Amino acid sequence: MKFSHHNFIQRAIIKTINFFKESIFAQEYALQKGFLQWFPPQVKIISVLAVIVGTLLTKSIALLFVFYLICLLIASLSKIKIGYFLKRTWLFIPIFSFFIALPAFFTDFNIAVLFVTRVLVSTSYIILLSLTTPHTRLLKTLRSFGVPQVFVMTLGMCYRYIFLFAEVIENTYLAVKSRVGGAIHYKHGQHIATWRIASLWQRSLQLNREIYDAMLSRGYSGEPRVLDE
Amino acid sequence: MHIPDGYLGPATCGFFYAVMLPIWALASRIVKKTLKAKQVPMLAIGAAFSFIVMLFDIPIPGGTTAHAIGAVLIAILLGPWPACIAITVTLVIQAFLFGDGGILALGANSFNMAFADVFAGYYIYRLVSYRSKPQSIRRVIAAGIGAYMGATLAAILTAVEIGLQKGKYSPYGLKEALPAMAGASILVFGWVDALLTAAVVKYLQSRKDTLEIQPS
Amino acid sequence: MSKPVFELEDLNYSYLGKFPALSDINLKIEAGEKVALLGANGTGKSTLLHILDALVFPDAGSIRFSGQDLNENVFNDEKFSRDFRRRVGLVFQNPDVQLFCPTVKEDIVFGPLQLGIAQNEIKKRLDNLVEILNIRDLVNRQPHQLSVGEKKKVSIASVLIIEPEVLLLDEPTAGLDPATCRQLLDLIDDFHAQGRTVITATHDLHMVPELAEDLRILNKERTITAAGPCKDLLANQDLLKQNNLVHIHKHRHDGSWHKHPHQHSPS
Repeated sequence: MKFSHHNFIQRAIIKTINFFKESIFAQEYALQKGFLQWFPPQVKIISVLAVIVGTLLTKSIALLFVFYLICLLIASLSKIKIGYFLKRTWLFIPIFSFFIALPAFFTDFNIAVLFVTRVLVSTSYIILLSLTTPHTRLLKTLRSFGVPQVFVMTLGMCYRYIFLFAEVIENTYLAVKSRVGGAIHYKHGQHIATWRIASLWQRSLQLNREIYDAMLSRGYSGEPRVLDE
Repeated sequence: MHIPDGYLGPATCGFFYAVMLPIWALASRIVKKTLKAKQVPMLAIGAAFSFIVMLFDIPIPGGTTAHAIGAVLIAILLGPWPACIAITVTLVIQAFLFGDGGILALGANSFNMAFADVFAGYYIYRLVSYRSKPQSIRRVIAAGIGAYMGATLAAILTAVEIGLQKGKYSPYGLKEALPAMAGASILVFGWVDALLTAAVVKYLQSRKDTLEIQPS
Repeated sequence: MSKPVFELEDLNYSYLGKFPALSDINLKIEAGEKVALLGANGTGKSTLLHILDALVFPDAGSIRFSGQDLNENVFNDEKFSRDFRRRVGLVFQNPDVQLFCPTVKEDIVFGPLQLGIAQNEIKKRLDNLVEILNIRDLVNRQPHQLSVGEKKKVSIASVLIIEPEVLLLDEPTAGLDPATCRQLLDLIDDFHAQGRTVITATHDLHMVPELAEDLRILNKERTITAAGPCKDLLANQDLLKQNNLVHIHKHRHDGSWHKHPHQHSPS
């Protein structure tokens, strides 16, 4: 659990950010005309929930594998490349869960397999939902489930600014790297990490002020409103 | 800290949804009434900040993953109710869009991180900083302690929820989950949260133009 | 004669009450004018635009909008505040700040929705603007997916949809390619041709003749040092040099070095 290699944090950060940018903001599959893309988001959310509950209720590993195969089938019908889908779903949650369950494979094999399979199936279906639905529509759909407006608005703005933050971090990392070269001493690296978080926070506060001004300038008075469609 | 779907049974998931629904409803009512218009973007930015912080997680055998949360930090800045909304929003984005799963487990995750962590951490901060000046070093320490305790409480709750599923859903019982999760928090991630929170509060003290630290 | 749109008298402003940002500003802008606020970096142009948009208020001196004093108190009156926000629009320098919604469409309609403009009217204006700006394929995209130029266009759309009488622009052409830049300038021209007021802050001498007919120059002391028609002020090399708006430009022509004052101005 201790970060032994001095570059570990640096590499982890850049890798995480890149993977995250690719995955959360990749929307090309949502715009394809495939099988799942055709369903309204409400239907998809409820079906995925039903599948997850089903996954939890069964104890049959065989049945879980059937669920999983169906998931892969739907993915390919929805024009998602299977290689990409496997990479996207196995990283990180099922792999993490596999590591977490590793010791249990030697004590209680059955439950360990059941556990990892359940996590894999649930995660795959959820990712299927997120890949085949435009995120902005997914966020809007929450409104139709009666989620209060303050949540919906915060969700929308949060989603918008996560991307900006990811870029800020990436740029800070690259800027630091270009100044000090590739190798950074562990102590120094720690210092940079602290500083990066502080600068991210500073950027947050500045953004808050500026965004508020931009909202105020266009007449914001504390009551969010939406267009009827 | 984050519990993906597949770890908890449907009854447990349902139970925590039932607990969180009135809390969410209350939070949105209180926030609508008390949050200044100026702080509205901060709600979203606080959530985005916490999201980025949570990205850096590692798996803990016997438990789930461990990472810093930043919940108490947001609570100190905006108050506990807005923080509850901000952290919930982070968890919703992780669950639905990032594919971290946790849609069914959203109630439980929110209870641990958006409710228990936020409120316990915040009130510990208030208690420790009792009547000290906003500019005092005691506030900084109080923020660190609050964040540490909040995060550790969330880790313990996570471990208990997972541990109670032994045999049916989780391969581990309390005996394995509790020391693993609490240990990770006590030894590593609690400190990350504490340092993060204390550093930002210290930073805020040096600047008057930023958001006020909530009066206590 | 009608009252000037903006009238600023001995206006002073400082950040946090200690870092001076504007000092002794006297400025009068009539309805229908097309003015540029020109100054090097750090001369307070953006701050001045924020003052004009009543996002911040002066420490001393006064600002009047159509004869009405602007201060924190009058903005507590919801009706006045709404009326002012409908009549004055600001396009921020950084489009990432201005575009805070999950989709382009939501960003564009944010202003009119907040200002209580009827839903049908908003949809009509949206349709119209999208056509003019040629951004129909952007409306369902997410702001972070757009290029700098596209973001800028959307930012401008998000203000133009309010149909303000006064348009404030902060470095509108920064970072744009020539074609997008041209499109934007034409748009500003059309807006001005409808009898509306345009006030632009810029440090780009090259753009000034396109953006404005009249000019106010801000100096290092963060005050207005010169005012007058563009062509007069831009011809005054000494004035421009004093205010760091020109620099000696050294470059190569056919293998030999060659120096001349670089003024970014086509005149």
